[in-house]
Amino acid sequence: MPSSIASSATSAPTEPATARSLLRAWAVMGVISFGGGQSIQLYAYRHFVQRRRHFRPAQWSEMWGICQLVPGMNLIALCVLVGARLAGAGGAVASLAGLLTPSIAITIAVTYLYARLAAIPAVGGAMRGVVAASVGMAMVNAIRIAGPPLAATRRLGRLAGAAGLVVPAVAGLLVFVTSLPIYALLVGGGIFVAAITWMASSQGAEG
Amino acid sequence: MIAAFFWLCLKASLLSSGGLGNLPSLHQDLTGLHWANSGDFAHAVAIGQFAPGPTGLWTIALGYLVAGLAGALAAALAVSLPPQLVLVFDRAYHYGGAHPAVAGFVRGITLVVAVVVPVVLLKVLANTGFDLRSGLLAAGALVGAGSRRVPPAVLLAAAAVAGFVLYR
Repeated sequence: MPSSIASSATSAPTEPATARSLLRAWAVMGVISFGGGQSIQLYAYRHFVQRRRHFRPAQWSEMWGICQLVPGMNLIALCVLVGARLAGAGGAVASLAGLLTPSIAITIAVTYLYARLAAIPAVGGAMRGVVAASVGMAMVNAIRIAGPPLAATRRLGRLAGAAGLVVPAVAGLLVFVTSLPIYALLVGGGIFVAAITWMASSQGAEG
Repeated sequence: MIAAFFWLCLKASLLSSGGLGNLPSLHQDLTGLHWANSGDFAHAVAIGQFAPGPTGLWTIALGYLVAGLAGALAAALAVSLPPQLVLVFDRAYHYGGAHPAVAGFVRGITLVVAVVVPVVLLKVLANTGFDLRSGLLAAGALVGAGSRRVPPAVLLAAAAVAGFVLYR
Protein backbone atom coordinates (compact mmCIF):
# COMPACT_ATOMS: atom_id res chain seq x y z
CA MET A 1 0.00 0.00 0.00
CA PRO A 2 2.13 2.94 -1.17
CA SER A 3 -0.41 5.03 0.60
CA SER A 4 -1.67 8.44 -0.19
CA ILE A 5 -0.98 9.24 3.42
CA ALA A 6 2.70 8.73 2.85
CA SER A 7 2.77 10.65 -0.39
CA SER A 8 0.93 13.55 1.17
CA ALA A 9 3.10 13.35 4.25
CA THR A 10 5.14 16.31 3.24
CA SER A 11 5.19 18.66 0.34
CA ALA A 12 8.79 17.92 -0.50
CA PRO A 13 10.25 14.51 0.25
CA THR A 14 13.86 14.56 -0.91
CA GLU A 15 13.33 11.49 -3.10
CA PRO A 16 10.73 8.67 -3.27
CA ALA A 17 11.46 5.67 -1.10
CA THR A 18 12.02 2.33 -2.81
CA ALA A 19 12.33 -1.17 -1.39
CA ARG A 20 16.07 -0.98 -1.98
CA SER A 21 16.52 2.37 -0.22
CA LEU A 22 14.43 1.14 2.71
CA LEU A 23 16.48 -2.05 2.96
CA ARG A 24 19.67 -0.01 3.06
CA ALA A 25 18.39 2.57 5.53
CA TRP A 26 17.08 0.04 8.07
CA ALA A 27 20.15 -2.18 7.72
CA VAL A 28 22.42 0.76 8.57
CA MET A 29 20.22 1.69 11.54
CA GLY A 30 20.18 -1.89 12.80
CA VAL A 31 23.97 -2.12 12.73
CA ILE A 32 24.98 1.26 14.11
CA SER A 33 22.37 1.62 16.85
CA PHE A 34 23.64 0.55 20.22
CA GLY A 35 21.40 0.88 23.25
CA GLY A 36 18.30 -0.80 21.89
CA GLY A 37 15.03 0.57 20.64
CA GLN A 38 15.46 4.13 21.78
CA SER A 39 18.51 4.75 19.66
CA ILE A 40 16.93 3.11 16.58
CA GLN A 41 13.82 5.25 17.07
CA LEU A 42 16.02 8.32 17.12
CA TYR A 43 17.92 7.31 13.97
CA ALA A 44 14.67 6.41 12.19
CA TYR A 45 13.10 9.76 13.09
CA ARG A 46 16.14 11.64 11.82
CA HIS A 47 16.20 9.65 8.58
CA PHE A 48 12.50 9.45 7.63
CA VAL A 49 11.20 12.71 9.12
CA GLN A 50 14.06 15.18 9.28
CA ARG A 51 16.39 14.19 6.43
CA ARG A 52 14.19 12.47 3.82
CA ARG A 53 10.97 14.22 4.89
CA HIS A 54 8.80 11.20 4.06
CA PHE A 55 6.60 11.88 7.11
CA ARG A 56 5.58 14.90 9.12
CA PRO A 57 6.36 14.78 12.85
CA ALA A 58 2.64 14.44 13.66
CA GLN A 59 2.32 11.47 11.31
CA TRP A 60 5.35 9.87 12.89
CA SER A 61 3.78 10.23 16.34
CA GLU A 62 0.53 8.75 15.06
CA MET A 63 2.39 5.77 13.58
CA TRP A 64 4.29 5.21 16.83
CA GLY A 65 0.95 5.36 18.67
CA ILE A 66 -0.48 2.62 16.42
CA CYS A 67 2.63 0.51 17.07
CA GLN A 68 1.93 0.70 20.81
CA LEU A 69 -1.27 -1.28 20.21
CA VAL A 70 0.53 -4.16 18.55
CA PRO A 71 1.84 -7.16 20.51
CA GLY A 72 5.56 -7.89 20.59
CA MET A 73 8.40 -5.58 19.63
CA ASN A 74 7.05 -2.10 18.82
CA LEU A 75 10.16 -1.27 16.83
CA ILE A 76 9.60 -4.12 14.37
CA ALA A 77 6.02 -2.92 14.02
CA LEU A 78 7.26 0.61 13.25
CA CYS A 79 9.74 -0.71 10.71
CA VAL A 80 7.03 -2.74 8.90
CA LEU A 81 4.58 0.18 9.00
CA VAL A 82 7.10 2.67 7.61
CA GLY A 83 8.00 0.26 4.81
CA ALA A 84 4.35 -0.50 3.96
CA ARG A 85 3.30 3.14 3.87
CA LEU A 86 6.24 4.21 1.74
CA ALA A 87 6.60 1.31 -0.71
CA GLY A 88 3.81 -1.20 -0.18
CA ALA A 89 4.30 -4.88 0.66
CA GLY A 90 7.75 -4.91 -0.91
CA GLY A 91 8.74 -1.98 1.25
CA ALA A 92 7.54 -3.72 4.40
CA VAL A 93 9.48 -6.89 3.57
CA ALA A 94 12.60 -4.92 2.61
CA SER A 95 12.45 -2.84 5.80
CA LEU A 96 12.03 -5.90 8.00
CA ALA A 97 14.86 -7.72 6.25
CA GLY A 98 17.05 -4.63 6.50
CA LEU A 99 16.53 -4.15 10.21
CA LEU A 100 16.69 -7.78 11.26
CA THR A 101 19.13 -9.62 9.00
CA PRO A 102 22.35 -7.88 10.09
CA SER A 103 21.18 -7.49 13.70
CA ILE A 104 20.29 -11.18 13.99
CA ALA A 105 23.59 -12.25 12.41
CA ILE A 106 25.57 -10.03 14.78
CA THR A 107 23.53 -11.19 17.81
CA ILE A 108 24.21 -14.85 16.96
CA ALA A 109 27.92 -14.15 16.45
CA VAL A 110 28.11 -12.22 19.75
CA THR A 111 26.27 -15.03 21.58
CA TYR A 112 28.70 -17.59 20.15
CA LEU A 113 31.69 -15.56 21.34
CA TYR A 114 30.05 -14.69 24.66
CA ALA A 115 29.32 -18.34 25.47
CA ARG A 116 32.95 -19.21 24.88
CA LEU A 117 34.57 -16.18 26.51
CA ALA A 118 32.44 -16.52 29.66
CA ALA A 119 34.11 -19.86 30.38
CA ILE A 120 37.56 -18.22 30.56
CA PRO A 121 38.21 -17.35 34.22
CA ALA A 122 40.08 -14.14 33.36
CA VAL A 123 37.05 -12.64 31.68
CA GLY A 124 34.45 -14.22 33.98
CA GLY A 125 34.50 -11.21 36.34
CA ALA A 126 33.98 -8.74 33.51
CA MET A 127 31.04 -10.84 32.30
CA ARG A 128 29.49 -10.86 35.77
CA GLY A 129 29.77 -7.07 35.80
CA VAL A 130 28.10 -6.82 32.39
CA VAL A 131 25.28 -9.17 33.42
CA ALA A 132 24.58 -7.20 36.63
CA ALA A 133 24.57 -3.89 34.74
CA SER A 134 22.35 -5.35 32.02
CA VAL A 135 19.78 -6.35 34.61
CA GLY A 136 19.79 -2.78 35.99
CA MET A 137 19.44 -1.30 32.49
CA ALA A 138 16.72 -3.75 31.51
CA MET A 139 14.74 -2.74 34.60
CA VAL A 140 14.84 0.89 33.51
CA ASN A 141 13.58 -0.09 30.04
CA ALA A 142 10.77 -2.18 31.55
CA ILE A 143 9.65 0.56 33.91
CA ARG A 144 9.72 3.19 31.15
CA ILE A 145 7.12 1.37 29.08
CA ALA A 146 4.55 1.96 31.83
CA GLY A 147 4.50 5.74 31.20
CA PRO A 148 2.30 5.95 28.06
CA PRO A 149 -0.40 3.46 29.22
CA LEU A 150 -0.57 5.12 32.65
CA ALA A 151 -1.05 8.53 31.01
CA ALA A 152 -3.66 7.10 28.62
CA THR A 153 -5.73 5.56 31.44
CA ARG A 154 -5.52 8.79 33.46
CA ARG A 155 -6.95 10.73 30.51
CA LEU A 156 -10.02 8.47 30.56
CA GLY A 157 -11.08 9.58 34.02
CA ARG A 158 -10.65 8.79 37.68
CA LEU A 159 -11.84 5.17 37.56
CA ALA A 160 -9.64 4.22 34.59
CA GLY A 161 -6.72 6.11 36.14
CA ALA A 162 -7.12 4.13 39.37
CA ALA A 163 -7.34 0.86 37.39
CA GLY A 164 -4.07 1.80 35.67
CA LEU A 165 -2.38 1.93 39.07
CA VAL A 166 -4.14 -1.05 40.67
CA VAL A 167 -3.43 -3.54 37.87
CA PRO A 168 0.39 -3.36 37.99
CA ALA A 169 0.37 -3.21 41.81
CA VAL A 170 -1.76 -6.37 42.10
CA ALA A 171 0.23 -8.13 39.35
CA GLY A 172 3.52 -7.32 41.09
CA LEU A 173 2.20 -8.58 44.42
CA LEU A 174 0.82 -11.79 42.89
CA VAL A 175 4.01 -12.62 41.01
CA PHE A 176 5.98 -12.03 44.20
CA VAL A 177 3.92 -14.13 46.60
CA THR A 178 2.30 -16.75 44.34
CA SER A 179 3.35 -18.97 41.47
CA LEU A 180 0.38 -18.09 39.27
CA PRO A 181 1.02 -18.57 35.55
CA ILE A 182 2.31 -15.29 34.08
CA TYR A 183 -0.17 -15.66 31.20
CA ALA A 184 -3.05 -15.54 33.67
CA LEU A 185 -1.75 -12.22 35.00
CA LEU A 186 -1.21 -10.81 31.51
CA VAL A 187 -4.62 -11.84 30.20
CA GLY A 188 -6.36 -10.89 33.46
CA GLY A 189 -4.74 -7.45 33.50
CA GLY A 190 -5.50 -6.98 29.81
CA ILE A 191 -9.18 -7.90 30.15
CA PHE A 192 -9.65 -5.75 33.26
CA VAL A 193 -8.15 -2.61 31.69
CA ALA A 194 -9.99 -3.35 28.40
CA ALA A 195 -13.31 -3.44 30.24
CA ILE A 196 -12.58 -0.25 32.18
CA THR A 197 -11.38 1.51 29.01
CA TRP A 198 -14.45 0.47 27.06
CA MET A 199 -16.74 1.59 29.87
CA ALA A 200 -14.96 4.94 30.25
CA SER A 201 -14.98 5.52 26.46
CA SER A 202 -18.71 4.71 26.22
CA GLN A 203 -19.52 7.10 29.07
CA GLY A 204 -17.38 9.77 27.44
CA ALA A 205 -19.20 9.28 24.12
CA GLU A 206 -22.59 9.47 25.82
CA GLY A 207 -21.57 12.53 27.85
CA MET B 1 12.00 -29.48 20.60
CA ILE B 2 12.56 -26.63 18.12
CA ALA B 3 8.86 -26.54 17.19
CA ALA B 4 7.87 -26.41 20.87
CA PHE B 5 10.47 -23.72 21.54
CA PHE B 6 9.18 -21.70 18.58
CA TRP B 7 5.61 -22.00 19.89
CA LEU B 8 6.63 -20.85 23.40
CA CYS B 9 8.47 -17.84 21.94
CA LEU B 10 5.55 -16.97 19.66
CA LYS B 11 3.02 -17.28 22.50
CA ALA B 12 5.18 -15.14 24.79
CA SER B 13 5.61 -12.51 22.08
CA LEU B 14 1.89 -12.42 21.24
CA LEU B 15 1.09 -11.69 24.90
CA SER B 16 3.72 -9.05 25.48
CA SER B 17 4.73 -5.52 24.68
CA GLY B 18 8.18 -4.08 24.10
CA GLY B 19 11.53 -5.81 23.80
CA LEU B 20 11.59 -7.45 27.23
CA GLY B 21 7.87 -8.06 27.57
CA ASN B 22 8.19 -11.74 26.70
CA LEU B 23 10.80 -12.36 29.42
CA PRO B 24 8.51 -13.32 32.35
CA SER B 25 6.51 -15.87 30.33
CA LEU B 26 9.58 -17.39 28.71
CA HIS B 27 11.37 -17.55 32.07
CA GLN B 28 8.45 -19.40 33.63
CA ASP B 29 8.00 -21.78 30.68
CA LEU B 30 11.64 -22.59 29.89
CA THR B 31 12.90 -22.93 33.47
CA GLY B 32 9.82 -25.07 34.20
CA LEU B 33 10.81 -27.40 31.35
CA HIS B 34 14.50 -27.25 32.43
CA TRP B 35 15.45 -26.11 28.91
CA ALA B 36 17.12 -22.98 30.30
CA ASN B 37 18.29 -21.70 33.65
CA SER B 38 18.54 -18.21 35.12
CA GLY B 39 22.15 -17.98 33.94
CA ASP B 40 21.03 -18.40 30.32
CA PHE B 41 18.47 -15.62 30.80
CA ALA B 42 21.02 -13.32 32.45
CA HIS B 43 23.50 -13.88 29.59
CA ALA B 44 20.83 -13.45 26.91
CA VAL B 45 19.58 -10.18 28.41
CA ALA B 46 23.18 -8.92 28.64
CA ILE B 47 23.79 -9.75 24.97
CA GLY B 48 20.54 -8.04 24.03
CA GLN B 49 21.78 -4.90 25.75
CA PHE B 50 25.18 -4.68 24.10
CA ALA B 51 24.53 -6.13 20.63
CA PRO B 52 23.32 -3.60 18.04
CA GLY B 53 19.67 -3.55 16.99
CA PRO B 54 16.48 -3.80 19.03
CA THR B 55 16.80 -4.96 22.66
CA GLY B 56 14.15 -7.58 21.95
CA LEU B 57 16.75 -9.58 20.05
CA TRP B 58 17.83 -10.93 23.45
CA THR B 59 15.33 -13.74 22.65
CA ILE B 60 17.56 -14.78 19.73
CA ALA B 61 20.56 -15.01 22.06
CA LEU B 62 18.43 -17.14 24.39
CA GLY B 63 17.42 -19.35 21.46
CA TYR B 64 21.08 -19.88 20.59
CA LEU B 65 21.96 -20.75 24.20
CA VAL B 66 19.01 -23.16 24.46
CA ALA B 67 19.14 -24.91 21.06
CA GLY B 68 22.02 -23.56 18.97
CA LEU B 69 21.57 -21.96 15.56
CA ALA B 70 18.17 -23.59 14.98
CA GLY B 71 16.95 -22.18 18.29
CA ALA B 72 18.20 -18.71 17.36
CA LEU B 73 16.42 -18.81 14.00
CA ALA B 74 13.22 -20.16 15.57
CA ALA B 75 13.30 -17.32 18.11
CA ALA B 76 13.95 -14.77 15.34
CA LEU B 77 10.90 -15.94 13.41
CA ALA B 78 8.74 -16.05 16.54
CA VAL B 79 9.54 -12.48 17.62
CA SER B 80 9.15 -11.06 14.09
CA LEU B 81 5.64 -12.39 13.40
CA PRO B 82 3.37 -10.70 16.01
CA PRO B 83 4.48 -7.10 15.24
CA GLN B 84 3.31 -7.57 11.65
CA LEU B 85 -0.23 -7.30 12.97
CA VAL B 86 0.52 -3.58 12.77
CA LEU B 87 -0.71 -3.65 9.16
CA VAL B 88 -4.13 -4.86 10.37
CA PHE B 89 -4.19 -2.26 13.15
CA ASP B 90 -3.14 0.47 10.73
CA ARG B 91 -5.99 -0.38 8.39
CA ALA B 92 -8.48 -0.52 11.27
CA TYR B 93 -7.18 2.83 12.53
CA HIS B 94 -7.89 4.50 9.20
CA TYR B 95 -11.38 2.97 9.02
CA GLY B 96 -12.55 4.59 12.25
CA GLY B 97 -9.90 3.81 14.82
CA ALA B 98 -9.15 0.75 16.91
CA HIS B 99 -11.86 -0.39 19.32
CA PRO B 100 -11.28 1.11 22.80
CA ALA B 101 -11.27 -2.39 24.31
CA VAL B 102 -8.36 -3.44 22.06
CA ALA B 103 -6.33 -0.41 23.13
CA GLY B 104 -7.29 -1.11 26.76
CA PHE B 105 -6.27 -4.77 26.50
CA VAL B 106 -2.80 -3.90 25.20
CA ARG B 107 -2.43 -1.18 27.87
CA GLY B 108 -3.33 -3.70 30.58
CA ILE B 109 -0.74 -6.17 29.30
CA THR B 110 1.89 -3.42 29.12
CA LEU B 111 1.21 -2.35 32.71
CA VAL B 112 1.54 -5.93 33.97
CA VAL B 113 4.74 -6.39 31.96
CA ALA B 114 6.22 -3.19 33.41
CA VAL B 115 5.99 -4.62 36.92
CA VAL B 116 6.56 -8.31 36.30
CA VAL B 117 9.75 -7.89 34.20
CA PRO B 118 11.72 -6.18 37.02
CA VAL B 119 10.54 -8.82 39.52
CA VAL B 120 11.65 -11.66 37.23
CA LEU B 121 14.95 -9.89 36.52
CA LEU B 122 15.58 -9.69 40.26
CA LYS B 123 14.94 -13.42 40.50
CA VAL B 124 17.33 -14.03 37.60
CA LEU B 125 20.02 -11.94 39.29
CA ALA B 126 19.42 -13.69 42.63
CA ASN B 127 19.83 -17.10 40.97
CA THR B 128 23.10 -16.22 39.26
CA GLY B 129 25.36 -15.64 42.25
CA PHE B 130 23.90 -12.39 43.53
CA ASP B 131 26.15 -10.62 46.04
CA LEU B 132 26.80 -7.08 47.25
CA ARG B 133 29.10 -6.35 44.29
CA SER B 134 26.60 -7.39 41.63
CA GLY B 135 23.86 -5.56 43.54
CA LEU B 136 25.91 -2.37 43.50
CA LEU B 137 26.71 -2.77 39.80
CA ALA B 138 23.02 -3.34 38.95
CA ALA B 139 21.98 -0.35 41.06
CA GLY B 140 24.65 1.85 39.44
CA ALA B 141 23.51 0.84 35.95
CA LEU B 142 19.89 1.46 36.93
CA VAL B 143 20.73 4.99 38.06
CA GLY B 144 22.96 5.64 35.03
CA ALA B 145 20.40 4.35 32.52
CA GLY B 146 17.57 6.13 34.34
CA SER B 147 19.39 9.47 34.08
CA ARG B 148 19.56 9.11 30.24
CA ARG B 149 22.87 10.95 30.40
CA VAL B 150 25.19 7.97 30.06
CA PRO B 151 25.14 6.03 26.77
CA PRO B 152 24.35 2.31 27.27
CA ALA B 153 27.63 1.25 25.62
CA VAL B 154 29.57 3.37 28.14
CA LEU B 155 27.61 1.87 31.05
CA LEU B 156 28.33 -1.67 29.88
CA ALA B 157 32.02 -0.97 29.28
CA ALA B 158 32.31 0.56 32.76
CA ALA B 159 30.51 -2.45 34.27
CA ALA B 160 32.90 -4.84 32.49
CA VAL B 161 35.91 -3.00 33.91
CA ALA B 162 34.33 -2.82 37.38
CA GLY B 163 33.44 -6.54 37.24
CA PHE B 164 36.98 -7.43 36.18
CA VAL B 165 38.40 -5.47 39.14
CA LEU B 166 35.80 -6.54 41.74
CA TYR B 167 35.80 -10.27 40.90
CA ARG B 168 39.56 -10.80 40.45
